[in-house]
Amino acid sequence: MTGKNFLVLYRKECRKVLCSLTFLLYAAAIFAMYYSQFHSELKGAEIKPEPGLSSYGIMVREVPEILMPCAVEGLLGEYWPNRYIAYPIGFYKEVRLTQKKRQKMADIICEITGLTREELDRFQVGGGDGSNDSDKASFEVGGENGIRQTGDNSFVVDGGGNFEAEGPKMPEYQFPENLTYERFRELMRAADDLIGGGSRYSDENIVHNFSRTPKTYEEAMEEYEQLIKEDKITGGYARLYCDYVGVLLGILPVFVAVSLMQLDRKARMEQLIYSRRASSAVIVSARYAALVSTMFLPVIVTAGIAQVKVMGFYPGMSMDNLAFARYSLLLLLPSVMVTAAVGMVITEFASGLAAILVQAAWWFAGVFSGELSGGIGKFTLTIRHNSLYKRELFMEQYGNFLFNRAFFAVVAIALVVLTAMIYEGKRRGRKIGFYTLGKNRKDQPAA
Amino acid sequence: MIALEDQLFKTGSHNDKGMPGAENQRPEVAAQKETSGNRQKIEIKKVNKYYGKKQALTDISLTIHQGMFGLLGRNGAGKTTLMKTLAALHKKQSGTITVCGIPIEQAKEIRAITGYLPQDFSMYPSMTVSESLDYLGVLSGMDGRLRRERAEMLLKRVNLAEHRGKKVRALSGGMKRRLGIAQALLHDPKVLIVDEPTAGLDPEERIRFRNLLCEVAEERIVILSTHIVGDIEATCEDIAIMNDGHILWKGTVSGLLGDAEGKVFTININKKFLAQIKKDYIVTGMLVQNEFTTVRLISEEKPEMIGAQEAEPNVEDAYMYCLYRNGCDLGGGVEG
Amino acid sequence: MGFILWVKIVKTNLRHNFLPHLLAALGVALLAPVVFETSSLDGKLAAQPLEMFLSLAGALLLTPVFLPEQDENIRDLIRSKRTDHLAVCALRAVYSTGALLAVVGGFTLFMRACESAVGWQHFTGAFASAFFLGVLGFAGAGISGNVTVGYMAAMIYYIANFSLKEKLGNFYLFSMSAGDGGGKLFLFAVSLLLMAAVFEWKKVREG
Repeated sequence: MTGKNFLVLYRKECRKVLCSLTFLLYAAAIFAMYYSQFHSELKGAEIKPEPGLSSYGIMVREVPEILMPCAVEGLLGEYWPNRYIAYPIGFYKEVRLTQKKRQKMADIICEITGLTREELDRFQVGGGDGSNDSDKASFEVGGENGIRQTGDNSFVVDGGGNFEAEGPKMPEYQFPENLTYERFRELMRAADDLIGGGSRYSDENIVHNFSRTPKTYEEAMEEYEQLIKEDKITGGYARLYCDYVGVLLGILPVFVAVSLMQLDRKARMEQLIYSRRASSAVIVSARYAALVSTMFLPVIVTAGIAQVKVMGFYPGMSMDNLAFARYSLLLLLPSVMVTAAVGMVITEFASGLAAILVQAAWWFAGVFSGELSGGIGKFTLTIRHNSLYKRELFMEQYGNFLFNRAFFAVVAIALVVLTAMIYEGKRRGRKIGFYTLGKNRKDQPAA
Repeated sequence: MIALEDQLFKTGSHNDKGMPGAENQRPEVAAQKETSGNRQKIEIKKVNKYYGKKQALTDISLTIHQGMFGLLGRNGAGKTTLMKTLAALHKKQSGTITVCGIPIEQAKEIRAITGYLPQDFSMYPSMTVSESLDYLGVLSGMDGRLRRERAEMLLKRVNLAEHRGKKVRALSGGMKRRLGIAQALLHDPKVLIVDEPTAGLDPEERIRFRNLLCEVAEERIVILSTHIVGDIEATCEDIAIMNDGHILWKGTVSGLLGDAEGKVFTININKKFLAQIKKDYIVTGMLVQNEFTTVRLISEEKPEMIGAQEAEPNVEDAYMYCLYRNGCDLGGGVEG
Repeated sequence: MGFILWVKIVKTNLRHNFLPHLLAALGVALLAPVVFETSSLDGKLAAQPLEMFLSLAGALLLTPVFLPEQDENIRDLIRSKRTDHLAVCALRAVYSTGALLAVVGGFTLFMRACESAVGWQHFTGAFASAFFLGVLGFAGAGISGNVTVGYMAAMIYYIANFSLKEKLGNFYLFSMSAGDGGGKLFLFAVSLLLMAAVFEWKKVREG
C-alpha cells in the first residue's frame, strides 16, 4: 500500500471514529471536565498573595524538629490500637501486626522516645480506635477550591494532626540525647518494614505526612513569583489543566477504541476486510493513528482555549506561549496512546468487556493510590499535579516524568504491534484468544 | 463509455498498471505471472485441514480453470472451509495450492488477485453504498480515480447506481448481495470466490445474480459454492461434489448427467404406496394429482412396478445419485 | 405463557448470557476488601466501599441486559418468536437486579461480620446508588444499541461523582459517605422511571 493510500485509509478511519457515539461521549466528557473543573474556576492576577492574611496555606518541608514529634505521635496513635494505615500495593489498607512484630515495634518506639515498655503500655488502656483518619480512601478530581491547592485534600493519609483531638492522651517523653535524626529515620524505615512497606513512615511518605508548616507571606510570594518567572505563568496552569483532563484520559479512550475494534464484527464485515490486500499492520496502524489523533483533538482544543484564557489574565507579561501544547503532548498524549492501545489489543484478543474491565482496574489502581501532586512514579499511568504551584516538586521528578511518559508511549506502540500480529493470525484462521475466525458458524468443524 | 465499461469490467492489463503497489510485488511473483502459459488456473493437491481433531478437508485435489466452477454439497460438507482456504483466510495443514501460479502461502499476493464474497456478510450500516465500496477499494490498494471509476461502473452493472447514496442499513437482502458482488469485483480480481451467493434471494434476483456471475466468468475464474443444485445447473460447466470434507465427484455437468443415465425413473402411484416408495427408493420429486402421485426416483435397476418409466436425469437427480452411489446417508430426503 | 417456559428462558439466559457479567460483579465485590478497609468502620466510613466501589457492580450487571440481541439478525430472529422480546429483556433486568441485591446484601453482611457499623440503611442506600448507575448503563446501551456506550455512560457518571460531588444534589451517588445519605429514595424512583422509559422507547421503536 502506498503512503497516499495509507493516508486515505487513515482519513476514513478518523471519520468512523468521529461519527461514533463513544467518541461524542468522550469529547463531551472532556469538555465538561475542562469547563467545570478548570475553565469556570480559573483565577488570574487575584491569586497574588496579599500581605496581612491569617493563613497562606500549608507547606511541606523537611524540618526534623517538626517531623520527629509528629511522626512519633502518629506512630503511637497507630501502635496502641495496633492498626496501621498503608498503601502496600497502591491501595489503601489497614495492617495489624502480629504479637512478635508488635514487640519489635514497641522496641523501636522505646528507643525513639526513651520510654520503657511499662510506660508505653500504660497508655494503651483506653486507647483510641485509630480509625478517625481512614476516611481518605477516595480520589479527588478537583482541588478543594478548584484552582487553589492547599495540600490538605490529598487522599493519601493526611498528617498526624488528627490524633491530638480524638486519640489517646500522649505520654510525656523526651527524645534521648544520643538519638540523631539519621538514626531516627533509620528506625522509621524499620517501622515501615514491619508494617510491610507503603506506610506513612516510609522514606517516600514521611516528610509529606509529618513535616508540614504554615506558609508565611514571604513563602507564598516566593511561590507566586516562581509561577510568574520560572513557569512563565502558563506552565503552572498547564500542569493543572493536565491534571484534570489526565484523569479522564486514563480510562475513557478505552471505550472509543473498543467501539472501533468491534465495529467490523458487529457489522459482519470482518471477512470482507480480511480478504483485501491491505496488510494487517496497515489496517491496525491506520486505526490506531485515527484513534489517537481524533481523541487528542478535544484535548488540544481545550488546551488552546485555556492558553488563550490564561494569557488574557496577564496582559503584557512574559509568558510561555506553548506551555499548554507542550504539557498536553508530553503528559497527556502518552495516556491516550496507551489506553487506546490496551483497548485495541484486548478487544482483538478477548472481548470489549474484558478490555474495559482491565483498563478500569488499572485506572482505579492509579487514581486511588497516587498523590494529588508530586509523586510521579516511573510506572504510574495517571500523573497527578493538582497544583498551580510546586514547580520545583515537579521538576525534581522530571527525570521520572520523562521516563514514565516515554515508557508508556513505547508500551503503546508495542501493544499496537501485538494487535497487528493477533489480527493477522485471526485473518489467517488461527485460533487466537477467545474469539477466532472460527467463531463464524460456517467455519466450525461441520462446515 | 460502453467500451470503457467493458474494458473495466473484464480482467486485464490495467490490473497491473492501475493498482498502486503492483510495482512493489516481489520480482519472483511478477515473473511467475508473466511467464505463465497455464497460469489462469487454480491447482489444489492433496490438501488436508483439521479443526482440532476433526478433519474438515481430506486429500482434496482439484484443478480449476477459467470460467465458472461449481462446488456442490450439503450444508456442512466443507465447501466454505475450502473456499476460505482458497481466499487465504484459512491455513491448510498439508498439501499445496497455487492460484494463478502463486502459492497460497503468499497471502498478500493471493488477496490482490482474489475477490471474495462470503456467505454471511454485511457492511458498516452507517456508510452509504458508495462509501462502503470506496473504503474496501482503499483496503485493496486502489488509487482514487480507479476506485471511483470501477465503483461507478460496477454499481451500474449490479443495478445499484440509483442507490449509491443509500445507507447500507436501508438495503434489502438482494441489494446487499449485489453490493457484495460489486465489492468482490472492485479490484478486478483474476479469481472470484462466491460462497452460497443466492441463499435468501427471491427467484428473480437469483436469476439475475446467476447471469451476472456468468458474465464475469468470461475472463476469470469464478468459484461458486452452493447447496442449491439449480444454481449449478444454470451456470457451471465444471463441478465438484463435496461431502464430509471429501471430493466425491469432479468433472463436467454432462459427465455427471451421463453417470445418472438409466438410473432415474418416474412412476404414477396411488398415494397410499407413497410411504413404501420413499422407504425403498431415493425420491427426487413428487407431483400430487388427486389420489395419484407422480414420483421421480433413483434406482440402479428399473423398479418392478407397473408404469415405471425411465426418465431423462436432471442435475438434481444426478447429484442425488452421486451421493447415493457414494454411500451417503440420504435419509433426510431430497437436499437442496 | 406457561410458568415452565419462563423458567426455561431464565435458565437459558443465566447460562449463556449472564454468567460472565455476574462473575465480573462478584469480582468487584471480592476486590472491595483489598481496595478498601472494611473492618470496624463507623457508619460514614463503612458507606465508602459500599457506595464508591460496589456501585460498579450495578453497572456491570444491568448494562448488558440488551446485549444478547445487540446483533441485528439475532434481534430480528428473537423478535419473530412468540415470546415478547422485551418481556425477556425485562426478565433479565429483574434477575440482574436480584443479583445486584444479593451482591450488595452479601457485602453488607460481610462488613457487618467485620464489625463495621452497617445496617439496613447502608444496604438500601448502597443498592440505590448501584442500581442508578446500572440503569444509566442500561439506558445508554438500550438507546444506542451499543453496550460499550452503556458502560461508558456509567463510567462517566461515576467519575462525575468524584468531581462534582454534592453539586449533583439528589443524584449524588456517595451521599452516605459524605454525610446524610439523603436522596436514595429519589435515586431509586428515578432509576425505575428511567428503566420504564427505556422499555417504552424500545417498544415504540421496535413496534
